[in-house]
Amino acid sequence: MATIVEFKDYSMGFKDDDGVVFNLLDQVSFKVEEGRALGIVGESGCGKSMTSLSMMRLLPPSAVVQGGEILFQGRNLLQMSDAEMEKVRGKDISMIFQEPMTALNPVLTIGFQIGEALKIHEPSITKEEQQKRVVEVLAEVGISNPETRLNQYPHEFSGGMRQRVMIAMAVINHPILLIADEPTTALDVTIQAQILDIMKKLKGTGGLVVVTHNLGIVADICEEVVVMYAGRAVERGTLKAIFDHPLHPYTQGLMASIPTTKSEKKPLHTIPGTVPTVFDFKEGCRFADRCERCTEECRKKRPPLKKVGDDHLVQCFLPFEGEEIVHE
Amino acid sequence: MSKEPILKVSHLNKFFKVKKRKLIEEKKYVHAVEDVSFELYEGETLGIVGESGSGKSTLARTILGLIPSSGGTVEYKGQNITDFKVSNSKMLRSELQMIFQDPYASLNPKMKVGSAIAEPMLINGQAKNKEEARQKVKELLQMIGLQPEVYDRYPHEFSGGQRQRIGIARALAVNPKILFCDESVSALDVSVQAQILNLFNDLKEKLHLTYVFIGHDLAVIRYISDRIMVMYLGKVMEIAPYDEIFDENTHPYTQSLISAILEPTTEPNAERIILEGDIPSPVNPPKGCRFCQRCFKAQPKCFEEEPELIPVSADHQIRCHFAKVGENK
Repeated sequence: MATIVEFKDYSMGFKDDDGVVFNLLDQVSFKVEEGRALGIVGESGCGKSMTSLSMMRLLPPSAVVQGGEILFQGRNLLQMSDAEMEKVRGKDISMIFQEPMTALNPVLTIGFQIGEALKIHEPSITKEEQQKRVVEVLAEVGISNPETRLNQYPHEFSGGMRQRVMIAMAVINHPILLIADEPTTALDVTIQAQILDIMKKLKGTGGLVVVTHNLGIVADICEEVVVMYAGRAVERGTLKAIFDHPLHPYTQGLMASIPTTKSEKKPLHTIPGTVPTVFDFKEGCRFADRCERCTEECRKKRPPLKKVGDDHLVQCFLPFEGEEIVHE
Repeated sequence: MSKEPILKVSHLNKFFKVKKRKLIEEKKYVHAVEDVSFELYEGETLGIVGESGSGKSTLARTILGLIPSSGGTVEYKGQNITDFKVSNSKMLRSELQMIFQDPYASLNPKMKVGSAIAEPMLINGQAKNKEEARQKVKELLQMIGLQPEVYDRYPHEFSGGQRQRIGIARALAVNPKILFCDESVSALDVSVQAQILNLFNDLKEKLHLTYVFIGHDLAVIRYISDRIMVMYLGKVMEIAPYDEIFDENTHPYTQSLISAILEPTTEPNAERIILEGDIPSPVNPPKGCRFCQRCFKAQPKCFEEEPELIPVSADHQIRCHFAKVGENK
């Protein structure tokens, strides 16, 4: 299996008006294999959106890359020139953005906006060919009457239909890596089921990265999981490893605090406190203040990365059975 | 649970006029809430679920008189309070309170949170002067899990979960009996959502509250509610006790909502029912059953004739031609 994208100890942060850099992502490492889907989960402010924007090289101006590599098919995305990056972005790597209401241009037709993505990467394409491909891709994402709908404007589409348009725009160039940032957050559950159904059909050709706060979505479409907390990848591994045997206290707490269709009517498990902001990050474990099993050591040093079993990595001081320290 | 309902809603309607575009045009209405009847008993939590556009929030707003109703009645403790056109409306309003969805938008950014909570107390006479109000607000802040020292801070200094706690404190400031929670945990992170859900349950016990809990996440609604009301296009499709909603004998719409729940487990999911299309326009609702166009069980009869709410057991009603009467436990 070929590796499509690999993060190697990637760190980034934000600089404030005085030029002081606050670290957000701290030595994040993971990889996406061909034909597999990776879920990046975490709460708001944990850096999951910054991780996906880093792959697209679309970080806001105040962001600073502090180190590490993002290898896309062996090439370091961080060292590419802007011209090279423009060839990759939207062609080999493309992204489905969070809010279809704001991501679409209200004064241009759907057909134009989807066709534009094609035209930029294939300038010699004829008008007829372009139209044909747009109709094909709209049909692929489940929009009925694509020939008439392509002359309509975004306001004529419902939320679920707009999200389909976003997906169509992202997949028209058959990307090798598709990133979906909270693809269904603004949608109703019944529409969410429709969209996830489409994404499952599209998956399998290349790599898929799904960024979400919803563990249910990850369980539904992903094979690998990275759990992020306050800019660190605290736990990663296969879906089965993480969901059936969560090791990190944060992952365990998160799983236990979700009401399911079978939960009893007793108080839910809670993680005390709230997620720290980028200005409050400390040297030691960033979860220490909210952790039930926190020790002196946790507050002083960053926790080591440990390998537990074949496909399961965790960043924690707690002892685990059969652990192997990968790096301090 | 007492037998006398604390709140009784009968045949409540809310239509919004659609603006005419031509001189000669038939008057059109958005059927936001149509013929909704239910009873709420003291000490229970009634969950309301449905997709966006099903009229959940409009129903709550119409009951509370925030928007005028177009027909039907609302009775609170036996008194007709429809649209709050009654002499003791001020007292009644304080007994029925609402917690809004967006804690960011529902707090005045220029007002200290303490003053925001104290204001309704002073207006409604729960506190006689500012000193007393200050004291009461501090007690309230402690009860909902915040430090009393936050009295003098502004909303932007709080996180989402803390702001939602402040929203709850403000609703509790006037000693309400019934709380309407409109998507009160939807905007929160998972770990914070659990904290707030636990807080709702604690407060219910401590203050003997009755809740109407509106949401779209059926797993959350099932957890918090005693009974669940499912709405679709302004109509009640089903009312059932929380432990019967996952049974076989439920409305097809409820079944599809349940099948759309994504559980965070690695167990294989049951075959998912994927509904076609979107919720239709409430301006011209379908002629027969409201759900007929998207229903996977639809028969020709469903397109012609609208089903009634059929009682299938003591507190379980289903609006479907194919509901089986008397088969529930």
